[in-house]
Amino acid sequence: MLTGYRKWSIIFLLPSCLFLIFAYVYPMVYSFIMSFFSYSMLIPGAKPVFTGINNYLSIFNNLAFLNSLRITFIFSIVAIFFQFIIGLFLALAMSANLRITGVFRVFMFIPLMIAPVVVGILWRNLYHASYGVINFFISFLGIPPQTWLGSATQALPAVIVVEIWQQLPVFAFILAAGIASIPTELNKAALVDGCGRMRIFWHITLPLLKPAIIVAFLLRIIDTLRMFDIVYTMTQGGPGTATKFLSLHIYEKGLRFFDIGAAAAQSWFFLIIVLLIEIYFIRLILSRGTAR
Amino acid sequence: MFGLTKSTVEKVLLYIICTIVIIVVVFPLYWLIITSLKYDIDSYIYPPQFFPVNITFKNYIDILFLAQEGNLVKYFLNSLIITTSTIFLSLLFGSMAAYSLSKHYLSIMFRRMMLAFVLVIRIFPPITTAIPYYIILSKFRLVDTHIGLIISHVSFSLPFTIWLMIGFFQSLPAEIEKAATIDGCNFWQRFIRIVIPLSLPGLAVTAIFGFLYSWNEFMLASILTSENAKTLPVVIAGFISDKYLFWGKMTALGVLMTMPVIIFSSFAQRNIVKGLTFGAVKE
Amino acid sequence: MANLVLKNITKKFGKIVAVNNFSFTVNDAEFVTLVGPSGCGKSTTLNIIAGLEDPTEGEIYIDNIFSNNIPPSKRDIAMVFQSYALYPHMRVRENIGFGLKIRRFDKKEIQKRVAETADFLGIGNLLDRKPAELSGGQRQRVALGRAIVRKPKLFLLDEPLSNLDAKLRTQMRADLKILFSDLKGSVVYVTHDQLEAMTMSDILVVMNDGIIQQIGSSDEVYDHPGNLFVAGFIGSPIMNFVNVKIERGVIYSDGIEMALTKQQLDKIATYGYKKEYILGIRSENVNISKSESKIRFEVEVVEDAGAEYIVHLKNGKNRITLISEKDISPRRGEGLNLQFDVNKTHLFDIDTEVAIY
Repeated sequence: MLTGYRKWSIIFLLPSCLFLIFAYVYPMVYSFIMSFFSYSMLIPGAKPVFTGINNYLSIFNNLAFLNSLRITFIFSIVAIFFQFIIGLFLALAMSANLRITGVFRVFMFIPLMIAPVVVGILWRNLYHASYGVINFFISFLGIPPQTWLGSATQALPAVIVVEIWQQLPVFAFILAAGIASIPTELNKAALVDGCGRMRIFWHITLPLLKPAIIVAFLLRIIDTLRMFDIVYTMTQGGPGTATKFLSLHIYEKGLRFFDIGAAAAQSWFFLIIVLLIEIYFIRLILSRGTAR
Repeated sequence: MFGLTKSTVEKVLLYIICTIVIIVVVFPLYWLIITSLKYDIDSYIYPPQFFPVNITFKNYIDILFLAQEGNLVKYFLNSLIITTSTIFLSLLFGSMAAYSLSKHYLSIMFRRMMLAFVLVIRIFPPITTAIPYYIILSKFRLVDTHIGLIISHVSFSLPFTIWLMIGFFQSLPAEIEKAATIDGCNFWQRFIRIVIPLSLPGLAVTAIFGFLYSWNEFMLASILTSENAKTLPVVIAGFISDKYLFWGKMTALGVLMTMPVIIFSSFAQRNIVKGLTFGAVKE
Repeated sequence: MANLVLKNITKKFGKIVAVNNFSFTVNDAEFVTLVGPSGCGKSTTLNIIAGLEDPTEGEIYIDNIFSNNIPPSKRDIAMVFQSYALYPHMRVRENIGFGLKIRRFDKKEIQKRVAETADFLGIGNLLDRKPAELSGGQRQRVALGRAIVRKPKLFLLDEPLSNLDAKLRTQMRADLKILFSDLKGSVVYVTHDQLEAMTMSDILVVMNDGIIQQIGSSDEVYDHPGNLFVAGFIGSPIMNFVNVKIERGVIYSDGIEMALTKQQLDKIATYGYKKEYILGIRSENVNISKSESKIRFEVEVVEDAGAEYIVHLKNGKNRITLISEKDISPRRGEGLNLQFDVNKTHLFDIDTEVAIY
């Protein structure tokens, strides 16, 4: 009778598998093959020419690509670092259970609800060099108006701030959930044992939060590395290439210049880097056995 | 700060911090709304107008009925069709797959492999598949069709749905399913009559995230559609031109896009955290 | 109603053997209880009978039909679970009628049967409630209703009383017994509670580590336990065990010197002599003797169990308990002369733990 269930189990998996094969496996196989060809769709009637691993080799002396790689990683690391610090602080504040923390929880979700393209436009307005609200605010601190998105040095930090603003709730709520799952007896026991607040934080809260922190890092790394929508409407990669993240770079390579072979090789290169990082984190999660 | 009693100083401090954070978090949304209610001319002045002097609905009327960019109602419908189809299909197929993987009828090796596959797909940066997928769609003549974008959105939400729903299914009491089996249900009947009704909270959360994703998704929509199946995020991005920024229209459309999400998700505030963690942290 | 035959059922989970070479028969309208400590394989056996799990080896016959390949839904059995497993999203009415609905019974027929069943169980007034609105006892009855309504060949009950509080449990024990004897149903009942097993069943199947230890009526299992495990598992307080030597028809141990009967000595002779044995005697068969006796123990502690005292005694390595009337009051440290009812003693092989008599 189990064979009947086995048949049903396979049938249940089938639709999802078909979708994933059509939208992921097939494109990735296609892209893998194309990564060994030189193929520009811009030239009518052009045929793909086999060039071996040429596309991969040229990645290493493609300054634009390497620049994008560098920007993407700086963006990811800095944004996640601040999200973690501020998120942890907010999570602790939320666990205080005052009346305001209830209100707080409701409002914290708002940035997540706004479409990234809208966020990009909105902040573009806030950052505007001549009539932006941010310049208005900093004028109270005696800081002269800045060009922000128009400046090669300020554009990336400006985008990072927006990313922190929009995705902060992720860290805050994951960590708050983690804190909520720590039995209060532990804190009480530690207090009875004469531990101060700081010691409780370092020796109880933080170690027990580790699994939640790792999960949050994993999810944020996935999302920050693929950053696209916000910059597309906010800076379109500019000024120059100051905010040209990898996704944007590959997008232009493939769909503006239609250099399909090179875009495919860069995609695979990008994917493998991402996979290596993520596998590291997933193994960390699995080895702790605390999360599924 | 640790669920223990606090002194008044701490409480006051917490109130102050929370208030500041709330202002920082909410102000941009406020700015979005008031900008959409201003004439463009009022958006270009310095110092900025924090409380609009001349309130107008002109921007809304413009984008809804008089837009040069084409019929916005059509794009609104496109977004609606694509989002609802995405939610429906990914919930149906995703929870079916999740149910299959949460039971022990298939070998553990196979199930582990499937889960790893699903996880890896969750990790893919979408740009890596978007370009080859676009080329494939164009071979099937599916570029700029609802179906083409729906398939891609469903595939994107599936890993998320599957992981989240496995968690929900595993938390169902095993004896209820046994009882259903004894009562005569086959696999499908057990799934649709017992398991699904009992997993409605889980499905609701997954639906909200599906909505959030598909409704706001821009990159794939911009690559895979041009006119017939164009969605709202693509329309908004299209307002950006080098010469002139139509703040009023862009923000009005932004408000129209954001409101349904906020309303829709306010129904399940509490459960959203589960979704945020990809089902990985148990509350 | 029907009979059930299990032949040489074995169930392995990987290398773990959950049920080992299990055979027994449930006759028509018989109440059979599988009893044993948790993890002994009794629930697995029940799942195998239900078809929720496949046996690794062995054959199942329900109503004389070979049933290994018949899915649970077609075996025409009903099951009551420890958690009751009511469908929380359905009203009581739909819970009871669900099995009939899935089997495509006519709507009127379903209505009629649900009403009958509910009246029979005294829950007719609860039909429009959801399970969450019911008390433990009421849920229990709905779960029973769901089983009864289909008039199945066989009832399987998996620890149905262990989620109830003590008072209700005693009440339901009696109710269930009456219910199934009225229905003339064949029942396989699983419990870890030996008292429940003793009071309710026609036949007990005592299990441990996936192996049947003994099959028999309550009296047989209680008065003639087949081995040390059954002797120790059935009955409360637990049977007293002491290691003894036998010389010339007399049992010796710390504080014990007791002559055996001729019959008992014959059985030992047939079984073969050993260096040491284990003697078992139930607390109620140990009596306080007014006169000098060759069995002397010292009082360790006295438990007041309300109707009687449970007296814990000690001599050297040996510790035993006895049940005494409350008209005497033994004090701690006091030495007592005892008498064992020699006909009610049990002797076990110290190595194989098999009962010698």
